[in-house]
Amino acid sequence: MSEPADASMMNIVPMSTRRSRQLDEEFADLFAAAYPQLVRTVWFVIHDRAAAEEVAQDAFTELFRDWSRLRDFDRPDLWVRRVAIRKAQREAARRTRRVVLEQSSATVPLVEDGVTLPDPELIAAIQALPAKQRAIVVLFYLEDRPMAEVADLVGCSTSTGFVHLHHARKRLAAALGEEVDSDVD
Amino acid sequence: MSIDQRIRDGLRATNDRLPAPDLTRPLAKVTTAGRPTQRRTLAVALAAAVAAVLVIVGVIAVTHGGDDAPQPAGPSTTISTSAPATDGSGLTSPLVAPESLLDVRELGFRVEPVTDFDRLGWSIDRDGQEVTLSWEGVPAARVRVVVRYQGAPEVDDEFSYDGAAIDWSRGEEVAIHGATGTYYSDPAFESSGEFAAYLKWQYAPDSWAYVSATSWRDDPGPERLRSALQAIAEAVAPGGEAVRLPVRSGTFPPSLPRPATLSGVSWMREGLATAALEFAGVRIEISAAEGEVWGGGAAGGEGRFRVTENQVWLDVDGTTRLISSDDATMFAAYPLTDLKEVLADFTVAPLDDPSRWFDLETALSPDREGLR
Repeated sequence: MSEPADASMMNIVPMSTRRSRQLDEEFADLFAAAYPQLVRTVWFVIHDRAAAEEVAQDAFTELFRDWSRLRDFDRPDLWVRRVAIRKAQREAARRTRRVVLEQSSATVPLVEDGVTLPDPELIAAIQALPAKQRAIVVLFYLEDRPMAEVADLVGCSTSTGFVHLHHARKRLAAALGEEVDSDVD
Repeated sequence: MSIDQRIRDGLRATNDRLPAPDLTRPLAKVTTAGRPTQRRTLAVALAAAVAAVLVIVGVIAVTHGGDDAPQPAGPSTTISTSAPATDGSGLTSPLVAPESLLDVRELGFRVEPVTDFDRLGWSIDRDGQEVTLSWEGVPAARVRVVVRYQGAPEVDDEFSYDGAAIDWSRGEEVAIHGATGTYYSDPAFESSGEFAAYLKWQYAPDSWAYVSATSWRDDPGPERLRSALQAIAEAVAPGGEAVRLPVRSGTFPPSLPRPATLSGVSWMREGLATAALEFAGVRIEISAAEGEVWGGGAAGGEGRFRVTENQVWLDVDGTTRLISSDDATMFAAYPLTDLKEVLADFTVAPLDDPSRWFDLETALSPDREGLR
């Protein structure tokens, strides 16, 4: 006696395939939730939209390679962010142009990557920072992360992270003509 | 508007204007590139086979030799030399732990020139000494060369890049100047997705040395990383540079840890030039961005303090000075006026004139006669 068609279909889909589909769906959910902001964050470090997308995709590829294991981490989104930030720093270091702050301020682009910048002087000043300081500024101010987490993401101690942030604030204040006499807000 | 508010507002406004990226095609690309394939598995197996052959070749190629006489790493009046090891046998004499870090006048080892690697700085603690190298053409890559004092325990989990124990039992045997060592690469580096590699060898009885670095799968790649670590390990030789800092303390009020409790010191030039000193949970860092004017002025110049829960900052004389502690409760035990006084009273010497820098005892013993 033959089985109903539906039951038969269930039986011929191997357990491993169903498991694989479930993993893929979980990964797709994380990708949809985290990828867009990750691209934006990396953009602030590299200042190139295509390159930012490439870096974010590379980081997610690393995550997907080992997804069956990494999905059990408390924060796989932090894992992929750490990979992306470190790749972004490397990419930024490759592209580093020794731009003197005053020079960059004098030739500030109002539109970058097709985006009209609301504060072009600020973006130009951030672009003139060393790559690690750029990443720290973006993670600290834009993503509002505690310094311990920022330091972990960029690969330095918390203390060194604060020192980098301090120097970055000074340089940004000097470039923007702002005072830097208060504690970090 | 404060600088912090301007940065925060500007970043958020710009962030809101950046267009949302497409999701469908990138997701397909990521899952295709990241999915294991039979071809990739074969390639990994092939790479492992090649690596095994290289190990065998390396073992055959090394030579033996060495001088087992102890090499003190403590007090010395000798300024370091950069001359190569006379017999080319590398570091074979144990580094002996000093009674006090203040006694260390020179590093007990150096890394002889290796193409594409430049020295960024050094550090010393109670277990050993370390030199950090940059890798030209591999941005952000850092190579750590650690030589432990004789009898010091092997490195703990802190040494690994992801804070987990290094599984040396899965490593491969290598030889450094005839000494047996282990090379271990961790392709599943959990904390960053990088490719971490470590090499350790027993350079003298009860004495261990380590070289470590991280890499991406494609840049510089595991094979290049491996050969680089091997070359650097072979370049470790006795006799290092003078341990001198371009900073000197002017005062250490009795309420603060004594200079003799110094447990770690480092000097690094990596974007920032930073001298760091650690005493009983308190860390002092004096730094300046490369290119800024550092030093030349007397201690106690006009500066600006900034105080947070467990940090005191001072910008003065071209430098940024910081006292911090991970333990906010302990930090609160020190009078703020004393912490400010310590920071303000540091003297800094010109960065470009090491002849005017200070050995550790001079840099940190302001209470000794003749040093103030």
